[in-house]
Order: sequence, then structure tokens, then C-alpha cells
Amino acid sequence: MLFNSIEFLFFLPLVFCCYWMLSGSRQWQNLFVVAASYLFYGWWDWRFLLLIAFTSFCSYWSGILLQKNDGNRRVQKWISAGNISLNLFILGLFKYFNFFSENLAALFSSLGYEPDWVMLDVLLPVGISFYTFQALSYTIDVYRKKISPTCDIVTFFAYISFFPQLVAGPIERATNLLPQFAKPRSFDYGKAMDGMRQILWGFFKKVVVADNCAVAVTVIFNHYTHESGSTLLLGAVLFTFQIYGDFSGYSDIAIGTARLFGIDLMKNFHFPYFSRDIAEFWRRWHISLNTWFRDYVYIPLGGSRGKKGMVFRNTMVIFLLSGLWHGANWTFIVWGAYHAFLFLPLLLLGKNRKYRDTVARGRFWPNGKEVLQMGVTFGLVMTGWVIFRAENMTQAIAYLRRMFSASLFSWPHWEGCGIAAGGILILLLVEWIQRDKEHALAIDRQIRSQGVRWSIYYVLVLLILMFGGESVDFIYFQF
Amino acid sequence: MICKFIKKGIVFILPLTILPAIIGLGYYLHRPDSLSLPDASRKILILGDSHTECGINDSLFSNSFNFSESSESYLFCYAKLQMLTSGQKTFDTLLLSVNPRSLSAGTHIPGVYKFNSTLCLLDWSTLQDYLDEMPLYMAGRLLRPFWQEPCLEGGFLGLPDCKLAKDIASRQGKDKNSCITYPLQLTYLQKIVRLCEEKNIRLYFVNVPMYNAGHYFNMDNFYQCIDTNFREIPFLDYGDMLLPDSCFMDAGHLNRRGAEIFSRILERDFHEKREMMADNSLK
Repeated sequence: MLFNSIEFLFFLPLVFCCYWMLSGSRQWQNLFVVAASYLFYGWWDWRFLLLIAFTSFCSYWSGILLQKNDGNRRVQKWISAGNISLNLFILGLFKYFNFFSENLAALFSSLGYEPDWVMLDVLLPVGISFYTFQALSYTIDVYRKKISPTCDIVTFFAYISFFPQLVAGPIERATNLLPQFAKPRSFDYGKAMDGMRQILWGFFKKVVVADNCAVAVTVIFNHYTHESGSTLLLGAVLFTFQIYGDFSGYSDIAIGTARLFGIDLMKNFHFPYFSRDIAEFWRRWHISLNTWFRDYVYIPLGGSRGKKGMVFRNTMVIFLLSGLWHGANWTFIVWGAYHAFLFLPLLLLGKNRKYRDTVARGRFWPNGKEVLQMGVTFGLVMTGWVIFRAENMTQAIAYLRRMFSASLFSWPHWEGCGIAAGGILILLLVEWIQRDKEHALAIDRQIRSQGVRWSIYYVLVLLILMFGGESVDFIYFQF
Repeated sequence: MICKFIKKGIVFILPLTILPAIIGLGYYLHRPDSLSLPDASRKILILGDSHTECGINDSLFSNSFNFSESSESYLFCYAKLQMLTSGQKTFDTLLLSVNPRSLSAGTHIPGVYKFNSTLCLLDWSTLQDYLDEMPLYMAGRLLRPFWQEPCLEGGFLGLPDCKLAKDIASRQGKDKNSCITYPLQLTYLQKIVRLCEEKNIRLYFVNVPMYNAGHYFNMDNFYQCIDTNFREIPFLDYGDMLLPDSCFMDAGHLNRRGAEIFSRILERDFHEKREMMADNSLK
């Protein structure tokens, strides 16, 4: 079920009312969350439910076994390694098997050996990377004794399958989400209202910005061989906003929806295009995935402590894994490597934590240096998105070559981009004004007048209804 | 607190639901039971998009009435035809515009989703198709024609200009339109065919001349679609007909002069074809 579908319009109010009618019993509430989440997920393909149930059950059982073997570290290690391997095997089978199979076949073929290689004809389950990582986080945290294993299977299933963030994140940690399901929840009016505001802003970003950009981006990327450099630059800029509007829009809707149910999810985006360097960008983009890799891969590998060679290796590993996480394609791996090479100089020079506060804090306008820094960072990120968006590396290189040719200084074909451009301008303006807030529409304390606040909501609803682009699937569903 | 939240939610949503409901009711009340052509003596109805709208001058093509409109999708053609045949039907022949653009998606998508005042003609199942395809777009467009009077649109539009050279220049270096059939267009074209069979209307497809169509459109895909789905429908195909450059407004459309020449040729060929078909059926 998509957030931007008619079904969800009926599903959400119904689930919301039933959920709070059950507020007397935490157990029934959790059971209802599982049922609603399985309905939400099964709407795509009910067969995927078996896989998520299997993943959840194995991770739950590994937690029980870890508890039973408390004190025997060696056995615990084997149990957690077994569950991690099983989860990664399932993920690899569905997501990466064909990619590695094809590449190995090509490698053997280049060596003169023609293998009769097996290819799998399977559908990629929606959101498999998201819930697998969530299951992994539980096993690792229990093994590390950061959290006690839960004996309540319903609560655990609710943690893995909670529908707002099931298919495209934020990737939650057991330490944050599981305790919330383990305790009784009461309706918080302020939280629910703020959740609604965040949902509204998420829809604006998805429907007005991302979906309108998507139309022009598809045309430009499909015909890049015939477009001028300036038009290709326009395509790259539009894709930069499409992916942001799409993914952060989804995250906003997910976080806002969760708040309606009294659940706080972690922040996933924090105005990343106002970053002054790449390190700051990565602290603000897809925060839940980056911190996941930091805590479960980077730090166990030694982090940034140790010799420069090791720091280089660790950084490359997490960026390449981050790229590979997005999909089985060389473009994603190269995209990860590209960002690693942008990030490494800052890390090695000890400047990766230079910008930890909000840009132009206490002022409305940024100074010249900040504008330049944000512009350069935006340009670097945008170049990376071209690689990310391309079908393959040949297309990515050809696109970039053509984009940076002499025709870059010609007038672009920007017909049909008017609504997208308008949406981007509103997005930038609102997010700039609100850049030190929790989310862009956190206006309850700034604007005291309910009439003014409601006028803003109505304007946004009308913009969504009147300028919403053709409905496009969320990009991150494929990951 | 939860009651306060729900109440506030309802109060907020109320104007957003009442307004479209009023508009919807307005449409329903304005919806005529049936329509009839202004001149009952004309037996040939012409429907379709800008190709027939600008290409067939019904004052020169005797006995015909051109009811085409720019970017008209088959969904709206079907709606018009349904209304025109639900009452006293005065015509017995339909010439329907079929061309590479009309069947494909790409730039024609706005045409598929065009929300004009013909909306009041759509029946419930068509509206549902519309809703399924694009719910938000549909809801948004519901607010748009609030101030518009529901009326029918269509008619011959003679274009005075010739901007062919400029149009050709703007198309330089661009890929051909792949002419991949858009499912909703195909569905409603098939519905039109079935409706014509039911109502005993002789249906002809017309492809109005375009300038060097093969250069801009993948004609193989277009003809394959016609061959696969509509082999039995007589096809008056002038897609590659040679006309002087001065007859074109742009690469896709005839201007007034072109329409004048083409309308006479079409009338002659149409009658020949009809007689030939009548002879064949007698044999």
C-alpha cells in the first residue's frame, strides 16, 4: 500500500481509531499493529509476508537463545553469527544473487571459461533491506548487552513490521523502538498534531516536488544523448531535488504517522542541502542508515582510530557498503566510492566535524563564504546523483561528459519544469526558514494564531491537490 | 484529548470534502441525459484530437460534423459518443482520429488526463478508471472548473499560420517518439469500437497527414498496434501523404489551407471506400 494512494486514505484513519480504542491493553494494541502492518505490507504481495514473518521469528528466537546462554560468550557468538548470516543470506539471495552471479560469469568468461551459470527469477521483496537491517540491529544489540531480549513475540513482531517505517525506513534500532512497544502508550495531542504537520509537509515534498521533477528527469535522462549540457545540468538538479523530496518526504510521512500512534521514530534527514561540506551532508542525509553503518560496521572495524591506512580502509568499507545497500548495480558502488573519496580528505585532515551547528545560526541570510560552501557541496552531491540515477556506468560517464561540455553554457530546454521549479523554490524557502527546527512545518510555537496556521495548511493541501504530479512510486522502495 | 484531535481533524477536512461534493453535485445536476448534434441532417460524425480538429473542415466535407478537440483522449471521445448515442441518434458513421500520438503515452499523457468540462459526461465506471489512474490529479482538477459552465467542446479549428520550419528546427536532434501504446488509450479505443458495433455505427479510423511522420514517430509500433487490435476497422491512412510545406501549421498539424485540400480528398476517398465496402458486402 502506498502512502499516496486512496487505500491509505481509508486505512490510516481506520487503524488510528481502532488502535486508540484498544489503548487499555498494550498487548492488544501491539497485536493490532502487527495485523495492520501485515495488511499494509501484504497489499503489494501477500507472499512477502512469509519472508518477513520468517525473518522476524528467527531474530526473535535468536534473542531467546542468547538469553538462555547468558554467560557462555562463545555459544552466544555462534548464535548471533548464525542469525546475522541467515539474514544476510536471505538479503543476498533476493537482492544480490543475480548481480554477483552475472559478474562472476563475466569474469570467468573473460578468462576463457564459459560457465553454465544459475540465475534466479525472483521478485525483490519491497523494503527487504530496511527490515533486515532492523532485525540485525536487534541481534547485535542483544549480543552486546545493550538491550535485554524480549520474550514477547507480539512486541517483537510489531518492532520489525511497524507499518509507517516498514518499507522505506527510517531504519530503527531495537534500543529506541522496542522499549516503546514494550510500555503502555497514551494519546499525546501535541505529538499527534505535530505528526499531522510533518505528514502534510512530507506529502508536499513527495507529490509536488518529487513527482513533478520525476517527469522532466525521466525525459532528460532517457534522451541525454540529444540534450545540451545545460539541459543535462537541469536534469541533474531536478533529480537532486526529486530524490530528496521523494525519500525525505517518505520519511516525514513515516515519522508523522508513527507519532499519531504515540511512537517516536528517529530523524532521517536534517536539511541536507544546506550542508557546508560533504561530512556535514552525510550527518544530515539518510541518518538512520549512516549511523547504522557507523555503529555496526565502522566502529567495530576500528573507526577513525589507528593508522591512516586503517582509517582509509574503514571509510572505504562503509561507503562501498552503503552504495551496495542501495542495489545490485555498479553505479551504486561507484557512487559510494565517489563519496568516500570526497569524505576521506576531510577525515584525514581532521576537518570532518567542523560544521556541527546550523548554517547561518541567528541570521536569516548566509554570508558569502557559506553560500559558496553550500553551492560547492550541492554541486558535488548532484554529480554523485547522476551516477546514482544512471542505468549503468557507461550512461553515467556519457551523461557527465556531455553535461560538462561546451553546451553547458547554452540555454536549457526547461519547458514543462515550471511546477517543479515552483515547488523547489517553496521547499527551499520553507526549509531555510525552519532549518534549526525538528522538521520544516514545526510552526506551532512560532505562529500562535490558529487561523494563520490553518491557512498555511490549506494552501499546502491545495498545492498538493492542484499541482501534484503524476503518481510515481517511492524511489527507495526498490532498495 | 483524542476526541478533540478527531474533531479538529473533521473540521479541517470538512471544507475539503464539501467543496468537491458541491462541485460533483453541480456536475451531476448539469449532466444532460443525452446529447444530439446541432444539425440532425449530418450523418457523419468526426471525433478525435487536434489532428482531426485542425485537419477536417466540416463545411467542405459534406454531410459531416466535426466534434474533435485538441488533446482529446479516447476516454473523452468515448464519453461524447456515449452521450450522443444514448438519445435520438442522428448519425450513422463515425470518423475517428487515430495517429501515432493519439495511441502513445509520452507527450499525450496530459491529453489522457485532460480535465475539461466534458467531465460531466463521464459515467461512473469511467470516473473510477480516472480515479484509479490519478487520484490526486483528479481531486485537484475537481476544484479547478468550479467557475466553469459545463458545456461541450469541439469543432473545426482552422489554423492560419505556417510555423513548420521553426517546428522542424526545434525537433532537431531529438529521439523519435517510440509510440508505445498507452493502456488507457487502447482500452477506450476498444470501448469505442464496441459501442459503435452495438449502436450500428460504421466506424472508420482516420490518420490525418503529418509532415514526415516516419522521421518523428516509430511508425512500426503504431501500425503493429493497429494491426493487432483493429484489423477489421477500415483505416483511411494519410500519415505519409505528400502535401506542400505551406499546408502545415507544424510537423503534426495541417493549417487552414492544408485542411481545405485534405478535406476534399478525404471526402472523395471516404465515399469511394464506403461504396467499395458496400459492393463487397453485396457480393
